[in-house]
Amino acid sequence: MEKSKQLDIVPLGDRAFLIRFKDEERARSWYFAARIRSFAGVDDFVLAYRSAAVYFNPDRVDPDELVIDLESIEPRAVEKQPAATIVLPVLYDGADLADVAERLGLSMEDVINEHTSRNYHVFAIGFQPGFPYGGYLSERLTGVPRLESPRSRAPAGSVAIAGRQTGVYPSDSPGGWRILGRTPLRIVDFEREIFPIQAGDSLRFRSIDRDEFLRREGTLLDPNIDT
Amino acid sequence: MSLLIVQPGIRSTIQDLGRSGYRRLGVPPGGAFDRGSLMSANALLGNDSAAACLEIALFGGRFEALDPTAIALAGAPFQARIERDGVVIKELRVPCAASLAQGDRVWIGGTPWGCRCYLAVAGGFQTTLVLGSRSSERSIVAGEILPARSSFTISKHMRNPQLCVSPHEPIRIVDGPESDYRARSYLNRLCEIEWVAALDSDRVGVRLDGEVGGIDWVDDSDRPSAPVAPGAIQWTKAGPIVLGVAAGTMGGYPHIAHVITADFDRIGRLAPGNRVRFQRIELSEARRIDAEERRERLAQLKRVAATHENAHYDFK
Repeated sequence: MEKSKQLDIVPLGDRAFLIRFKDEERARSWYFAARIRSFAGVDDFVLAYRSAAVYFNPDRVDPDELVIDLESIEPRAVEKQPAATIVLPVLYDGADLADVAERLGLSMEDVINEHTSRNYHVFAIGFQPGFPYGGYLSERLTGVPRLESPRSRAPAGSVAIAGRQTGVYPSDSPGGWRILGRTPLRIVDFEREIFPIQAGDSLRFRSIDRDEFLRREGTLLDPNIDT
Repeated sequence: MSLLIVQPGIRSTIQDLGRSGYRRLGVPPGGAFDRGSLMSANALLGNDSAAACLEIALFGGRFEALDPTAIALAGAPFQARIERDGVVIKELRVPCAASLAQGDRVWIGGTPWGCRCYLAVAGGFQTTLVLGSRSSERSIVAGEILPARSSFTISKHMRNPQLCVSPHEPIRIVDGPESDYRARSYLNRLCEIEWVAALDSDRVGVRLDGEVGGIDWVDDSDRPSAPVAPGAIQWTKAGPIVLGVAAGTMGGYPHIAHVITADFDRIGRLAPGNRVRFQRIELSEARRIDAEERRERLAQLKRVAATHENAHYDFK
């Protein structure tokens, strides 16, 4: 079993490796460095919190050689890699907003101010295609548990929180996070294969009124405009 | 030019070999849960091995050819027959290829063992490509029409490759990324006893019922999720789950073991109630078996394609 000195690499089955880091920031720097290099036989790199995975095709690359290549990645060189900051407009009228405020001992306005007051790292994209896991919430917003039983339909665009994380549902799906509001924008276009939010990006929310919501409803998020 | 779904079966979906390169966007690979059988069905018609087929789980359904259509079936030995004007004109034995005349219906029933079979048409189903694949998790419904090319083939049968593997052979696994004391005790338990595939298993995961044993379960739901892959065996309070082809790209439960690629199709062949055992092997051994398996599969598909005349298209 491969055990690297420089990197904590462990096998993820016989066709992938998992690389673990001390913290989210190190994982992100390494991931960015890995993504800009091209590796023969690598199908995909995935970033999730403090780890990254590399999926390879054994017909095209020898796993032992791949490990050596992965170890040669210099994360420091790209630590300053500018990640996109995406600003997502949100109408804060979510079904759980009042309940969240009450649980946290805040007013609804406080919840909105707290939620829009900082940039969140997108630690991973997962759960469903295009769902960004953002974090971490400020201490005042942290600690609201998931719904005891997930709702059968969290509508597309729902902006929600759970624990110390925040996320956005790209399409209608069952969901257990608490919904604070909704963005009028579509955050994924499956047919045209456009995924504007990527792991490693930075995400911020901006409170909007109903007029703006209606004006922009259904438009695709454009990272060049919504920054 | 297509196949009309008269009765859709229980959980029939369109599958090919799935999509790669989209995991970082949260898109699972998907594709056939028994890739070997999908490739066999395609080989019987001389299709590209990745052509889209109908993946049938547990119970088949009834499908009507709106045009002359060459079909093939491979996978578990589902009952199957061709009907013309409500009369059975031919019994089919999986794996096989056959031709449907316009208006003929193919009926597919249940299977004495196994879980999935693949219905191929010459050239593959021409449903919508999304992110480079036709794989979809949406079950087909009655009245739907699956687009296909008009074609015919000579009837043929092949030996079922699934018969070469005894279902009593343990499924081989390598250690997962979690290697702390607790993960080790889960892993030991996993290999100790026989498990039973649970009723609520699907393409996302096969849940295993069994005596979990006296291992303390520690709920650490705060731990950050990590990337996973089909074949990952996660340990939950209710017991182990083997992640399937449609599982999400990340997981939060302890990832204690991973099914080797060469045995992964056998997970897709588990029907609820089937028994299964696991056996730990070294990673180097898993890789050697994987390489051998890929060589053999290639050779086998070439043999099937070479010994049979391929499907002919009826271009109009």
